[in-house]
Amino acid sequence: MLNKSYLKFAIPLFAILLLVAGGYFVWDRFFKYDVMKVYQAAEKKYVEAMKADVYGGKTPKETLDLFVAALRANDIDLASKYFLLDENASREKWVEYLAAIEAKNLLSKMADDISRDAKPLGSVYEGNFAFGLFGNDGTVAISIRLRLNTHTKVWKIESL
Amino acid sequence: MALSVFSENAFAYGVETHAFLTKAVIEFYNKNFPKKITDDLTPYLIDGARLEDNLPRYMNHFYDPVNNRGLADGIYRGMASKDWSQDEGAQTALLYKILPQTEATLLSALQLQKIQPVFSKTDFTWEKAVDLYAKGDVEGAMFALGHIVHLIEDASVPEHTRNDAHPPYDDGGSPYENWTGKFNLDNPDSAVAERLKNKKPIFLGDLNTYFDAMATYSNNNFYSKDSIKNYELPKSDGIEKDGVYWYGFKNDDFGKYRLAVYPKSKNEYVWQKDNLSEISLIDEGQGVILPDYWSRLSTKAVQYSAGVINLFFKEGEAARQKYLTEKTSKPYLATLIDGFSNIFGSGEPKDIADTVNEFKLVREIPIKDVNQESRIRNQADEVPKKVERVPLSASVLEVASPTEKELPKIEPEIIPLSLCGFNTASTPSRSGVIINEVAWMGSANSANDEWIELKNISGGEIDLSGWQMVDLGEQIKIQLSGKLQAGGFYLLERTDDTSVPGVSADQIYTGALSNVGEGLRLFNKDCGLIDEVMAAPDWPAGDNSYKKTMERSAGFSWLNYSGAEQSGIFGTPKAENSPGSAPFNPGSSGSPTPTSVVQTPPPPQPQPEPALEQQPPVPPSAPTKILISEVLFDADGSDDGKEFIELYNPNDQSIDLSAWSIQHQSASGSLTKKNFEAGNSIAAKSFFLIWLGSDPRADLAWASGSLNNTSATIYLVDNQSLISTTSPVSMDAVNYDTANLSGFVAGQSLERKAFQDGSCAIPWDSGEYLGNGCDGDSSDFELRAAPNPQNRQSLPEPRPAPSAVTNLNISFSSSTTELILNWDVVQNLTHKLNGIENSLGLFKQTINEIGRDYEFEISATDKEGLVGSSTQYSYHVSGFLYDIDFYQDPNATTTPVYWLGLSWNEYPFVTKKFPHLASGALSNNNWQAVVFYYNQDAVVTDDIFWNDVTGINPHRSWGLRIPNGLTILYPNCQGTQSGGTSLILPGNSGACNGLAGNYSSYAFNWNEIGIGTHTFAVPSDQFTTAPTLGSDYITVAYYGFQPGYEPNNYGLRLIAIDKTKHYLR
Repeated sequence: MLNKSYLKFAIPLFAILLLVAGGYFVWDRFFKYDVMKVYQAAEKKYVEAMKADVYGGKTPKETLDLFVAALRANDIDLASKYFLLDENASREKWVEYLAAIEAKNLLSKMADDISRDAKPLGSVYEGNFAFGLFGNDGTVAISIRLRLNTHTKVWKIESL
Repeated sequence: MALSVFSENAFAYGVETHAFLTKAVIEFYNKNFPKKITDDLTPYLIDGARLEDNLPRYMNHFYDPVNNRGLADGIYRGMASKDWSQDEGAQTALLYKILPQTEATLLSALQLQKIQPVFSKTDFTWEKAVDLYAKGDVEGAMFALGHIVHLIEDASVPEHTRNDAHPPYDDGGSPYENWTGKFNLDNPDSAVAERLKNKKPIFLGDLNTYFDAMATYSNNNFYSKDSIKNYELPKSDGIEKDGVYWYGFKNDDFGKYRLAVYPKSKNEYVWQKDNLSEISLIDEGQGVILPDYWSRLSTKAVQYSAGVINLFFKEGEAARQKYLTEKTSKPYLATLIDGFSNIFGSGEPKDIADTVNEFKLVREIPIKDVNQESRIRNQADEVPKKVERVPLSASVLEVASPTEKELPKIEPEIIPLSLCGFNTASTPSRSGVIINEVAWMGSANSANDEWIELKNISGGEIDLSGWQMVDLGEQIKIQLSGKLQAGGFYLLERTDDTSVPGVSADQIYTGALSNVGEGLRLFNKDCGLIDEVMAAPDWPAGDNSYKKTMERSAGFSWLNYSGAEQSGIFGTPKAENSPGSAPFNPGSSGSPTPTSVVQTPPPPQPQPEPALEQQPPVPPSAPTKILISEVLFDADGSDDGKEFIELYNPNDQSIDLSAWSIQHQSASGSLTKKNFEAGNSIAAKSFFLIWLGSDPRADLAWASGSLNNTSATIYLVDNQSLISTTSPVSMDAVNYDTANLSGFVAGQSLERKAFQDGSCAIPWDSGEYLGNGCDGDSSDFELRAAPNPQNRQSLPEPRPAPSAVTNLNISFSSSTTELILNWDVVQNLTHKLNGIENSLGLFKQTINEIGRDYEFEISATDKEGLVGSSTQYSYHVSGFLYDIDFYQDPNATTTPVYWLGLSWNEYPFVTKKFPHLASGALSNNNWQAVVFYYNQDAVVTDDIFWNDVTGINPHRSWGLRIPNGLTILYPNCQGTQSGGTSLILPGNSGACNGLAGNYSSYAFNWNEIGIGTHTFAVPSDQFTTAPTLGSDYITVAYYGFQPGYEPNNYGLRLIAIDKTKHYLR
């Protein structure tokens, strides 16, 4: 009687343990690190941010002009929005960069220089375009590289 | 479903760029290796390479050789591609099984059906590919191999070897991949084939080494956008200014290449970020870095991948042989289990027997047949019926003296119960019975008709019961029986009683006497040595050429038979010996050497021995014999079934080889040989291939043969007797010793040089198709990295190159903007148009530049790659407009006025129309636009945009404007004036009524069109400086409306730019 009662308890317990161990094995073997989930999460975050990013012009020149206008208005919050999001959907480094220029009271000069000197350099592949500010030796001192946000069809400044 | 967000995969070369690269790999492989990947197998390899990008396999396409890891950037991670390519467990993980395929196949339904069991799986490892090949599923093997080639190609992408994730949704992550994405099967980069012209595949020992080498090359020599500071290498060799950039450059075996842009101009602007360390891979406006990268990385990728395919076939062949061997020896139960597995598993490949004939690359491996092998060995002693020879080739490098005898192995066919061993320390007693005559060379009837005669020299009868005759190798062991009368003869005939026609044998035996390194001993019933004769290495007498037997003289010495022939026998079976003649070269089986290579039967009557004539050395300029032209004696990996000997006939006439033999002498002196067979011949200037083992390419299979891996001499002999090891006589001979072959590695062959214009030349590159006629000295041979066995089906060499192509027709279709080229197709020739193979006789190329010349170069190539001289063609594509006239109004007196006069022959002068993007239908109103630029080349881009001329009210006075465009004024459909940097051309009169509701409402007034010419005002206020005569100019681009882009601003697509500059007059 005791044995029968014991078995009633032990068999389900054993089955549960087996299930848990098996489940752990499968999880450890196949799902512990789900590359798909990691990838999808990163992509979703990035794409959503890009779809929401409508700041910019329909041409590289338009974006550059809008950026210059924001500089003239001392609006670094707006000016930074014309930059392309990085892989982490952030443009923090551009905010810091513009803030440093603002601290030196150089935003207007920057706007004037870009407005006056930026010459179109062209593109290397589709969705890429650059303007250049030239140095005294005739080479490009500063490249203002733009990339098309394919989600909203506006041009973004990728680097400066 | 979250999967739907995967819009494209840019995690490596684009899928279609992989397709293009893999096709280039196949072409390069086929060009450099004798085995060819046929057209019917090519799609499987290409599609396999494409589909390795199936999600999420590409997470495992990274391999950082510096840190020996896969992708590991903190967010993403995956296996190293080197490991992934060989890890069946990883590839069959649940993750890969449950996710749907994300890349579409290019294979047809029929092709898919052939590989369905493989296609639906996820295991595309190297081992799987080899296994499929071994089991005969060659299509499946190619498909799996394609996945491996993909991984090698990816290892040529710096992002993939420098731990730079560059996720596909961030489609600017890899400038290199973005730039290379334009190359695909429809838009191949012809320069790849051009760069590979002087390149060879790269040979490495195993797959891991290939991954290491490819990945190290791309990691150490190139940057990726986000890993520039992460690795010690590359370092530029210097910085130089070129155009508007400072470039860091490196030098390699291709020459100088741009590594990156290095900002050098500092403090030009006070707000400038200190970005001097921020070097860049993108040089807008010049665009030379990424092409430099591609030129090297694509070339290396193809070289390495071709080597990988070669390695695959080697391993595949080895696996296949093992599979076949195991299959034949598999016990019944195992076969039964396999059968059940095949039925219920449904994943096993087809039986090789069902598929092997479908695959042209692969030689068929026969199941080992010991009896057959034995038969072949026995045939090896057949003796030719020709007698004349030429002297030893001057190209014999060295002939080693034998130090040890090793006889050809002959399978014993009779095993007596109790036998005497050949070895004995006794001396022959020669008491009673002697070995009296030996026809070791056979007879004129057949080299196999050997016989031995004993003679009772005692005064009484001798009972031979229990006596034995044993040869050196103890392969012939004969138990004698019967009694031999005094003075009587006892005739032993080989195989049957017909070896000596008309004379009855006293006993039949089996086994062949070797012509060298042989011996016979006669033992009594107590194994006492009675008599012996040794061939050490040559028989003391007898003439193999004339088939004269070796006879005992009264003094027990040996002489040549000196009598007449009877029934093909030059000897005296069961009769007293002839007076005999002294052998020409005691100890030698050879005979003097006449000079002709023409085959003649043995002389019907005895004749005086030809006098020895030493033929003068054959000068290199006068090849008159058959040459050993290429030898592969040490294959990469197992030699089994991979070695070959190639012959070349430099003469102007065909040579019959059927009575010849090829012989191999090891360094220890042991000889093996293979007789040529009936029908074997070699055509003038052509080749003959002897394969050690079997191979579909073989003209003669030496099934049991093997070439020593370190040192040996190979003789081509114009008869079928084993050569003398002390004074060998042969048509040609090649000695090799790896100790003296500097740089030799297994897998290389020795190839005889070509002969041209009185001197020897390397047998590849410019000498590839010149034959192998160099016959001078010990430097006749070169090591060849990629062996190239040629057989009787190969084209003769040297041969004339295909004729130049003179019938190329070129035309231009303005409605499709296609250049159309066609030429006559010639059987067995393919053509190369600007370096790209084409066997169709038709080539179409869509162009986007008019008003310029196009250059074409076409040549024909025969089936083995000999390229004829190329022909250059030039074709000028005219502009769409008849005339463009930019001029200053001579009548304007104060403010300068400029005009632009346009003329056209018929309207529409731009005839190309774009269909609706979604429906594919043509619109009723496919309007176009002519765009004008001032002092710059028209820009090749679809990326133009419009707004109204004022920028204030877009609905008042529409005009089409583009960046840097030149503004003109024209009357529009509304009856007013439009001003934009382009001229909008109405598609029809109906659309030009002001009601179209789009830009064609502001198109050029239809009523002005029929005139065929119009002069447009060019506002002068857009010129900062007045245009200068003959210096300032206008260029033109043509755009067409493509419905379906709305509502965005990309409704226009470029049709073409006109490269002509129209200067101010």
